[in-house]
Amino acid sequence: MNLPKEYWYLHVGRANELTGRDRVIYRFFEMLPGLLSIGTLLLFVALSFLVPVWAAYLTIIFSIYWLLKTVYLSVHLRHNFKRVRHNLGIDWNDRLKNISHGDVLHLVIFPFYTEGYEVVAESVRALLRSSWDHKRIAVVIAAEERAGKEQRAVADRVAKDFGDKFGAFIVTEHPANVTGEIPGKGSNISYAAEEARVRILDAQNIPYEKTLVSAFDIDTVVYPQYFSCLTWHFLTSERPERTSFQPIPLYNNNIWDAPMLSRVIAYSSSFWQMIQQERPERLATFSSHAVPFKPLREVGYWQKNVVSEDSRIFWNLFVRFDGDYDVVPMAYPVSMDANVAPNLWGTARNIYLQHRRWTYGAENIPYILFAFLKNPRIPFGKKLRAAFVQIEGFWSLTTNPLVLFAVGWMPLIVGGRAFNATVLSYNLPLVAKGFLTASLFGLIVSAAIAMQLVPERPREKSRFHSLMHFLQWMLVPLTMVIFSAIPGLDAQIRLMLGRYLGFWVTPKTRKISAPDVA
Amino acid sequence: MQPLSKLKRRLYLYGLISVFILCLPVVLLYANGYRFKSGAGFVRTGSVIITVAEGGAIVSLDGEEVGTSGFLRHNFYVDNLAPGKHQVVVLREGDREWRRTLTVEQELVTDAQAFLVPMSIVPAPLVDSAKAPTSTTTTPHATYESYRTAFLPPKKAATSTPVVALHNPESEGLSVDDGNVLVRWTDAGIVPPSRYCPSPSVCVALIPVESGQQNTARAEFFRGGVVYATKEGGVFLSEIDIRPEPLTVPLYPVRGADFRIVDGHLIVKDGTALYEITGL
Repeated sequence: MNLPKEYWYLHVGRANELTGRDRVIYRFFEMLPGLLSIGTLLLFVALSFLVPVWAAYLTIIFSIYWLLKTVYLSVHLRHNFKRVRHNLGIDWNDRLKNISHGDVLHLVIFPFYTEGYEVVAESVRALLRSSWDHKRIAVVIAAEERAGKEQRAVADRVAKDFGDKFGAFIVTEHPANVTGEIPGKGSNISYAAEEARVRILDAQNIPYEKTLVSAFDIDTVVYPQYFSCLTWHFLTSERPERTSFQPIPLYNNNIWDAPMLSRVIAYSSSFWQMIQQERPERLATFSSHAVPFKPLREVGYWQKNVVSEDSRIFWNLFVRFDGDYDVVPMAYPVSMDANVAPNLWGTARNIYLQHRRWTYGAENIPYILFAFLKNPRIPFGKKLRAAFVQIEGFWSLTTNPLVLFAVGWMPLIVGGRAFNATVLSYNLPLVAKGFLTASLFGLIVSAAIAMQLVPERPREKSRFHSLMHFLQWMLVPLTMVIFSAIPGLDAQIRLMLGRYLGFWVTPKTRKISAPDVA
Repeated sequence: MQPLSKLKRRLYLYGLISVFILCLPVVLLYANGYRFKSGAGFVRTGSVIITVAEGGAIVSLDGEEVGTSGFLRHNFYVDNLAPGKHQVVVLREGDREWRRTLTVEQELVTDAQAFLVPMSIVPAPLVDSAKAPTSTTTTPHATYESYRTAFLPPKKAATSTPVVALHNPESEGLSVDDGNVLVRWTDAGIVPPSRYCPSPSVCVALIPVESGQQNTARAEFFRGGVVYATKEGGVFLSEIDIRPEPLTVPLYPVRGADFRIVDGHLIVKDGTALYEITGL
C-alpha cells in the first residue's frame, strides 16, 4: 500500500537516507541522545575537578531523586502486579459472552531464524493450549531465506505437524539481500504480514478491521486466555483502529535454567514494562505486541530499515495518524526465554548485546523529532510530551546508574585536599549511601513480586534455588551499570557517530519445554 | 481492575515532589555540617577524623570515648562538633599516651594521625659476630661493619653546617639550621596536610620539630617522625605536627650519642658501642 505523499518521511531509518537540510537535521537528532548522556557525564567529571562542591551537591540531589523515583515506580509496579494477578484470574471468555466477537481473527506472526524445532513447536503448542477457538487463529512462521534450507525444513515440519489445527497456517520466507532493508525482525515480519494479507486475509475474505496481529518473538509462549483478553481489550477499546495492545513480557520459559545474572535482568525488564503499563501515556509497543491489521497496513507494516521495529511501529502509527494513536496496556503476560548460553560468559555477552539492541531504541528519538518537525497536524502538547518522555527515558537509562555508582563519587578522588578537608566531602558518601540504601526497599518489592511470578519450582531444583531467586536482587546495582547503562551508552555513541547497529538475533536454546502457565 | 488512576498518580507524584523540595535544603545543609541546636537554631559545625594505624587503641574526644581501633576500624569520624578547641587522646596498653589539641572550624574537617610509641624502649647492644663468643647473640660481621662504617666521617670535607636534607614522599624537606630541626613543606602548589595547619583554614610551611636550647647535630625522617641527635641530650624521636602537643620521646638520652639509619634500622653509637633501637 502506498503511503500518502505528505507522510513521505514515515519510514526514514537513518540520516543517510535523506538529502540536503533534512539530512543535517536528522543527523543532529541522531547525535542528540549521545550528546546529552556524554555531556552529563563529562559535566560531572569536569565539576569534580573544577568545582567538586557542586559535583557533590549534584550527587546528593541525584541520590534523593533516585530514592523518590524508586518509591514512585514501586507503587506503579505493585499496582500492576495486582492487576496482572487479577487479570490472570478472570475468565475472559466469560467476559466476551455479551460482546460479538465471532468474526475476530488473530494473526500470529513468529519470526524465525536459526532456532530449533523444539523452540518453534513449543510456541505453537502454546497457541493450541489457549482457550480461544483455534480456527480463528492464523499462524505465520516467518522464516528467513538467509538461514538456509535446513531452517526452512524446520518451518515446514512445524507446518506439517500443526498446520491443520488452526484456521490458517503458512510459512513465509523472507528473501535475502533486499536493497533498503536491514536483515532482522522488522523486515521479516513486514514481509510475512503482506504475505498473510494475500494468502490468508484476501484469500478467505477476512476483513482487515477484524484482524488483530500479534507480532511475537519465536520463543513467545501465550498464556491460555491471551487471545480472549486481547480480544476483549480490542472490542472494548474506544478507538480500536487507533490502538495497539501491549502484553507484559515475562521471561519465564527457562527461568529455572537461567543463571542468576540472566534472571535478574529478565525480571528487571519485565518490571520496567509492568511499570510502564501503569503509565500508558509513556507506553510504546515493545517486543511481543499486538496491533490491528488495518492501521498496520495503512502505515506500511513494520519498518524494514531499523533495529527497534517493535517500538518504531508505534511511532509510525502515532505520526501517520497525527498523534491520534495509543497503546493499551493489557496487564496480561506472555512468556518468553531468558538469556541462557552454554556458559556464564556467553550469557553475559548475549545479555549485553541484547540490551544494546534494546537500548538502541534511542534511534526513535531522531525519528520522532524529525517526524514532529514535518507533521504540523500533531498537537504541540503531544509532541512536547512524547519527545520529552523519550529523551528523558534514554538519558536516565544511561546517566543515572553511572552517576550514582561511578562518576558521582569522583569529587572524593579528584576533588583535591581543599575539598577533602570539608565536612561535605566526608558527608557525601554517608548521605548518598544512606539514600541509596533506603532505595533498596525497591529491590525488596521487586524480589517479593518476582517470587510470585516465577513458575513453580521443578522437582529437580532444590530450595536453595528458590532462595537464590530472592537473593539474586543484590546484583541489581551491578547489572544496572554493566547491562543497562553501559550498553545504552554504547548504543547512543554508535548512533551519534553514525556507526549504525544491525539487528543482532538473541540465540534461543531450550533445555526443557516451557513451563505450564497459570 | 483499572490501571492506577491519574488522580492517584498525580497525588503520588506531587507528594514525592513536595518531599523532594522539603528534603533537599535540609539534606544539603546537613551534608555541609549544619545542625539544629535547641535555643541556638541552625549552627554550623565541623568534624574531626582520627586515624589510628594500630589495633586495640582507645580513642577519646573531649573526655568521651569514641571507640577502639581494630582490624577493620582505623578511622574515627566525629561530626557535629562546635567550632573551637577539642582534645583528642589515644591510649593503647604498652604505649605512651598520645594527645592532640585540634581546632575545629565550621564546615571543615580536622584530621590527625595518632603517633603511638612504646612506653619503654630498650636499646639492644650489637655485638660483632667475629669478635664475640659463640654463645652470645651477635650481629653478622658484614652487617655490623656496615653499621660501624656508617658512622665514619665522609671522605670529602663536610659543609660548614651539619645539615641532612632528605625528602620523604610527601614533598617534605628536613633541615638542621643553627642547631634546630625544621621540617618544611616544599610543594607550594599543593595544600599541606593537616599537621601543618594550626587550624584547618590556616596552614604553615615550616614545622620546628626541635627548637629548644639543645643543639641538634643530625636529623633524619624515620617511621613517620623525625629522629635527631643533640649534642647535649642524646637521640630523640619526635612527630611532625604544628599542633600542640607533638610527642617527643627520648630513644637514647645519653650525651654524645649519635645515630644512623642503615637499611631501615635505627643504629645508635655511644662511644665505640653500637645499639639498635627496635620496637618503634
